Amino acid sequence: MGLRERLAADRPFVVTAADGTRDRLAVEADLRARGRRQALSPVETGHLVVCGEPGAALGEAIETVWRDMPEPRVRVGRPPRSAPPPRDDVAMADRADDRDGLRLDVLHLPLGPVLAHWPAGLRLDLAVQGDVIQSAGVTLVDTASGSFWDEPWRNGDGGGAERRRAASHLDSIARFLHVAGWPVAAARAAELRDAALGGVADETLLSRFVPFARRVGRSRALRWMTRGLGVLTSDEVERHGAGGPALRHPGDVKDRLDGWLVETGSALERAVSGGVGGRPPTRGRSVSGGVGGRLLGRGRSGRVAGDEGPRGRVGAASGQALAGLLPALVEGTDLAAARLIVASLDPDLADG
Amino acid sequence: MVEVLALGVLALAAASLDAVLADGRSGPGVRAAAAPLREAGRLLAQQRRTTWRADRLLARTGVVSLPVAAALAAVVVPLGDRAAADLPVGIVWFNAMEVVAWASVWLAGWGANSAFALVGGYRFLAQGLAYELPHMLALITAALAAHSLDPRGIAAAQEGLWFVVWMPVAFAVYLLSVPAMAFWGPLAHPVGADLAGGAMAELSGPDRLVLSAGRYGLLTVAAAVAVPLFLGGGAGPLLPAPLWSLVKTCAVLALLVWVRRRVPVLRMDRFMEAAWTVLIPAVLLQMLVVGIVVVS
Repeated sequence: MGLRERLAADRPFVVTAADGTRDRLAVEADLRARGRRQALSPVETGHLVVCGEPGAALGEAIETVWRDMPEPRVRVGRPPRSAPPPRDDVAMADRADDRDGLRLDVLHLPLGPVLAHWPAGLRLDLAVQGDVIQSAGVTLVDTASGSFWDEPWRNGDGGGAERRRAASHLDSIARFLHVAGWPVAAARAAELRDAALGGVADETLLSRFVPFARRVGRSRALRWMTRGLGVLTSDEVERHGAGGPALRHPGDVKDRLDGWLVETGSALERAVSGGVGGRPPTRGRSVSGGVGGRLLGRGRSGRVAGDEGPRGRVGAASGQALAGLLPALVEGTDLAAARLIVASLDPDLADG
Repeated sequence: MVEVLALGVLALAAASLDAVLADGRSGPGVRAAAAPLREAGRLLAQQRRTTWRADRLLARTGVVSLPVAAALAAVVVPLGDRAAADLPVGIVWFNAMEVVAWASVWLAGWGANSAFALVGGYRFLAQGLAYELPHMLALITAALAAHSLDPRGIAAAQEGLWFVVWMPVAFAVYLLSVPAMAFWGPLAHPVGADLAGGAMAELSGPDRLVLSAGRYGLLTVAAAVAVPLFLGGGAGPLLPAPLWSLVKTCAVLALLVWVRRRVPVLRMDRFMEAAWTVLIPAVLLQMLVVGIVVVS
């Protein structure tokens, strides 16, 4: 590797397939250890890192991006299964009335599946006028069966379940904070996530998390910027067959962020007290199937008693169901709000 | 031209400080300080890509005009009581150069023929509408108190009492407009992470380097102008005046970098209302108070 390539590797553009969470965490930890940042857009860099094994559709999108990256180019990850023929992506614009009755250009704009700080494998197809979304459709470009975050529950390994739950929420929080334009807090969330997955003692982890949660939860500017966006009721979540934190914390984007913070805190408390202390994540009233009953976390026996994973019931494809909620939520908002709404639900498409 | 060069060095220092602090406490501090230079090397060695059917002329014009605007603004910034250019209306000149930056970002965003870049350009225009009026009123407040549009004259008028003491509102508004005009930190929504870099999303290699350098240049110049306007210019004990100017500029920059760590991005769809209903009246009241003091 020459100097040019080494410098290019300074700021990789990371693309994650639905099953690439474990790879991505390793990549992020390595970047942090070397004090490097990720690129926000593929033209920023010639260094592409693909995490996990992309399916054909995502592979094609990655190929398109790879072709447009500037030299010198380095590519890390599994090679795509087939190289699709090149084609020109031309955005077609037509005209329609906007909300004020003006004739304005309508632009068809995809969000994802290759986009920084975006849920792996998801694509939203938007029709926008200016930056206001007129209509939206959702496509699950890349899915997997069996999420990294559900592993302790699927393997019946109670030892790390609550810490894994905390790490899952911290991962979502980190992504959300990047989208909200608070990179320092996002980096801290990622650090805590990796500490929860690593060997840091339970008590230490909790004592580090508390000030972070206070700073993010009480930030007035963050509340001001997220209030009233993407309001969702528990009934709507249930109707789509989704579960997890979004079901237990109805409300707007900020309510969901606070929900993650609360659930992370109680998961870490349960880890400290070995499954005795802390309130398990339940809603006030019992939902169908009784979430509370399934949520005993780990018992002293070290077996996972419940099947309520970090993002909903394990195996219930809650993330894929959440993705179905997105079009209705983002229609009529602008791109900035839409990004925050998506980040506040953070659907994991690997739980099918 | 020493003054302009000194501000250029400060811009690099600001980028370094930002890199050291941006990576959180876990980042390797000393190595992070060299990050801007490494990044410059990386971008210089990188191929330049353009998007399909981009308007290259407009995009290049936008990219190149930003550091040019920053450098031209720097010629009226006094270090101590000397500026590179002897201009009696330095404040007006500085304000004109910052409006050039609006055109720069808009052209760079528009020229790329990419939705994300275009939306980033839109965002900067909205940001300009939000910050510019309070910002201009803050400039006029300081000029009014000193009976001068020359930064050196304004600095000289603060013998004994710095303007920051009796015009705190104008100073606060000015301080807010510094990151706003450089679309940086909490006011970096035009180049936001949610748009894959917004107005900068399609910039590669030297183009990206030139625009980034212009951003830090603008941030530094705007921070440096706060010193003659509100912080007494080169006034201070022991050290020579130009050095005091630099020390105060560094302090303003350090404050901005520190604030950046504590605040998420402010979006103009939410901020606009506060800018027009709170900031403009507040700075107008400040101006009224200053006017009464000056007349009496």
